[in-house]
Amino acid sequence: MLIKYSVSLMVCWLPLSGAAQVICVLGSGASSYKASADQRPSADAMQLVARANAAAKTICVSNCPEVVVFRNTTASNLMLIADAGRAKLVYAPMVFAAVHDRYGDAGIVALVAHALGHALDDGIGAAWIDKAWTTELRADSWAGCTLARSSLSSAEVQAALGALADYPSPSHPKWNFRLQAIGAGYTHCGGAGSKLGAPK
Amino acid sequence: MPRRSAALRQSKAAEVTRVEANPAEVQTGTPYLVPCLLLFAGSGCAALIYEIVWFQLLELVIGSSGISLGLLLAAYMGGLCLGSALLARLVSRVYHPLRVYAFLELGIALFGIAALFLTPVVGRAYISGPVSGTAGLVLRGVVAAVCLLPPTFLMGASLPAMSRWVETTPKGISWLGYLYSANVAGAVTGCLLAGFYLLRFYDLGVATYVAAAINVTVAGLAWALATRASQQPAGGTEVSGGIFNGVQHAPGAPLVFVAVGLSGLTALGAEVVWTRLLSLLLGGTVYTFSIILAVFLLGLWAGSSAGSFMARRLAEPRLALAACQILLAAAIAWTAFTLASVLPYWPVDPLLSLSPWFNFDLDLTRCLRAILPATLLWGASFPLALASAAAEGEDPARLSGSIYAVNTAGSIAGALLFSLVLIPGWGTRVSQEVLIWMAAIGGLMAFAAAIGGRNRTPVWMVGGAAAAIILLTWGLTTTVSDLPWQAMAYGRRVAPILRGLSVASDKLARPLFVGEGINSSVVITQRGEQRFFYVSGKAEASSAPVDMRLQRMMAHVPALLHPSLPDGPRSVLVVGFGAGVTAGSFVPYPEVGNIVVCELESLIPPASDEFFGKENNNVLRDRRTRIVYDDARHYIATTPEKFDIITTDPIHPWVKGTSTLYSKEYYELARSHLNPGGIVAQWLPIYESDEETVKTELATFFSVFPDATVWSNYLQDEGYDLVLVGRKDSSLVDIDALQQRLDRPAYRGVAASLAEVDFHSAVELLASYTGRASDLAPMLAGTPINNDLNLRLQYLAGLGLNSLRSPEIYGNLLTYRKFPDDLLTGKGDRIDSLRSRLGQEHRTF
Repeated sequence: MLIKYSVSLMVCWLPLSGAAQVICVLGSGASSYKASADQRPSADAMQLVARANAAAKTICVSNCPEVVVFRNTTASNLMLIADAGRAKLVYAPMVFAAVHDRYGDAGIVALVAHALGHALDDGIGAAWIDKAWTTELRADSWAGCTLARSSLSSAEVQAALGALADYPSPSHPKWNFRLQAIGAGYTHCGGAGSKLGAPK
Repeated sequence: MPRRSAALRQSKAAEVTRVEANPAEVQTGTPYLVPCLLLFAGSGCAALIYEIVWFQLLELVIGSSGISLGLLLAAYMGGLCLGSALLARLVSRVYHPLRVYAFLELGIALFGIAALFLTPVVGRAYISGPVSGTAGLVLRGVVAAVCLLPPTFLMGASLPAMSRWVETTPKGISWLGYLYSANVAGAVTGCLLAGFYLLRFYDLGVATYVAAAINVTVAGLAWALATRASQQPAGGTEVSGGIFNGVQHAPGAPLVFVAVGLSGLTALGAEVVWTRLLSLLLGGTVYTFSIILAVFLLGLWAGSSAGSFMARRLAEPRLALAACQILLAAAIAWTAFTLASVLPYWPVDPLLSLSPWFNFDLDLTRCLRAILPATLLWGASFPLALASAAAEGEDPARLSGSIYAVNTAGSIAGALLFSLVLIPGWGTRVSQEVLIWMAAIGGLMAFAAAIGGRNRTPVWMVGGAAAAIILLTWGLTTTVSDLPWQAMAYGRRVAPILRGLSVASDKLARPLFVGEGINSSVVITQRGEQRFFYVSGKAEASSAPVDMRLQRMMAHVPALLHPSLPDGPRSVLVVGFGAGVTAGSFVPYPEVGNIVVCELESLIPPASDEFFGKENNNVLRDRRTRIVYDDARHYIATTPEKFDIITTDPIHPWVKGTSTLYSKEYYELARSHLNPGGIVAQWLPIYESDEETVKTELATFFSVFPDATVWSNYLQDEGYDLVLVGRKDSSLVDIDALQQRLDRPAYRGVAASLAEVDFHSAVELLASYTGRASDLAPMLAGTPINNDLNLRLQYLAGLGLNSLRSPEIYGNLLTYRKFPDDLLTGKGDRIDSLRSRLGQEHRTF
């Protein structure tokens, strides 16, 4: 049944093994996460994840990782977890609702794009990625690239940036560094630079 | 039975002849007492319907605070008491008992119908008088007495009137018991008929007419029987010296009276305590209250039937009465144990049920398990007391009247003592200990009456028995424990929540405050960094983000939509203190000079001040704040004050009695107390609710505020809340002006208060717009309105609280949402951004 909730377009496995490892947490409270409370994601959540995934697939093409999606009320905002050889994207429904209330579909797509960015970064590389960037900045850069392939309007790009700015991980650097990484990915993947600007 | 039926089929002439010509045969047949049982059942049925109707009507006049309810109860039962005590003195025994009874029933029907029409008139007169202080209290008592004493006097007189038709032999006394029992059986029927059918599908008017029709039918049948039956006692024989020739009660009867008075005291005291505790565990809907009352009455019926059966066979009814009361002490301890240590842990999750009727089955089972033993003993005590106090040849009307009056007087004392003094003062555990002691004292009194007439009972035996009873009672009181605070907090879902917490120990909560007040039980807990506030088994407020957002919205949405730009509202009324966050959200508004908070339960504000002071801006200590402890409906009806904003955040509408704060008349009352441009904000939960309930709530609000708007709090796992906003006058809301207002230095506190709950701009606040009355009209077409006469909402909500339909309800509401061009206006980016947000598709995560 697990496959029913997975992002089936991604065919390649992340090289994960051993015990569950939290790769990325947007927000705080990862310690409260209980895997036993994982639930099937809502149809709306899957639709938006699939939208981000479709955009990401244009980047990784045939070398895409597989990510399984779960809804979990004990999760922090959004988590990417490597567990028993697979990647789990776990979201908190209340936070998704809040993000959507404030930023609409683009806000959710942006957060998912950041999480997928970690998975992409693990399998492929890109010339525009600065070697000095941390893992989070590289994921941001891939998120920017994914957003560029997501056919977002100017307002939606602004909303997406707003969501990324409002829901950082504890290890994220300051926003101006992040915006630089996102912008690099966005412009190198065909996004119109005119749509990009500081969200606040 | 065949012989009795055959007798009933005889012609009038034949029956009369038989009664008068052959008393010995009649003595064994008592043919007319059997139909009299049916008549008494009819009386009981009508009486319970009236009781429910009259309390509902009068609570709308004098309020539903603990004091008001106490006055209503005292007036209702006082009438019963007076009627039963005075009938024998006021009505000569030359009249045929059945004809007297018929007149009483007709009188009850007339008063019943009159109450329906005159109570609102009395209400209007009441409002014009003094409503606060001692004078107000006296006036409430006068209203309760004027409305309730006349009909209840007649009700109370009916048993003594009929009892003149039996004689004070053991068999006759037994019949008195059966009449009482039949009356209670009718009451069970009336309770269920009113609670589950008449008031659910119809209204107070129809319920009154049904009750009156029962009275009239009973009166007609009684009159018809009177034309056939002899006036002399149905037992048949006259005692020497003529009927009822001034014989007094039996020797030692005063002790029996004390015992039966204490029995009444413990019965009503226990009903108050146990209804409080059971409604926590079952959920306080109109249906669960009906079930609790029906089980209580069912036990009284079965017990009084058994007691009546025993009364004619026992040589020592006083010893049996004493045994009943002693066993009652044990039965009360059993109930206390069951309520505190068994039922909260029964693996019952009401949310698992596909139909509320399965839950009602479980509720009935739990009530039977908990309270039936004690109610059986109270029921048996009444006929045994009659048999214990009766003297051969005594006027049965005087006997039954005095026993009933003393029992009812005890009931009044019990109801008032426990609801107004013992529970708020010492809690339900001590109250139940007191009940056990009272029952034991009643047993000792009956025991003393039983041995009083004996010369040969050794003193050591009497002393030993008394000491054993006292020791036993003390032992029983040690078994009583407090209701677990979790049951007070989590209510009907205590078992599944405790189960859930047991496998997630990091989420365990600890209680910060546990209290039992006159009106409700209050618990405040700490879980992680969040605090939760529970009233009578329901979470009413918390510092969790989703609740904070709602509580702040209840203040900020009406305050910022208020048309008095550039200044804000000056006077606000907050209905329901809760954690104080809504009231406290008005504190940062520089223009607000008067914050009146109306709260029913006096425990709540001080507790919330202590534990939610940071979240509620210490509103209780703000010089602009004034707390009024009253039923909000009563307060608004009686205050001359008017307000710029009335924000009303009462308890959930499925709780019995709260639908008066969601009725058309309440909204009209609130509207009439608004200043020009004033706004009413109403909380509307769509969790623990279903479509029909939400539609009725919306339609009712819109019927008074046709230009009303709906604003939503975002999703949490269990659903959404809505904030309904009704405006006295229509005006545009300029988003740019609103943002400028929030940007003013004087409004820094308001902006910060909003930002804490994730509203960072005027656009974000207004993006919570969900719809308006005109757009939702197609959805609400044909929806019934909740008004004072039907209080439809509490019957709908009581069935829908486990439906788990909030996502669908919310999604359905949003399908009607259009951008309100004639309400929200502005220029440039802000209005475009708002338009974009409101145009986006709703999603469920």
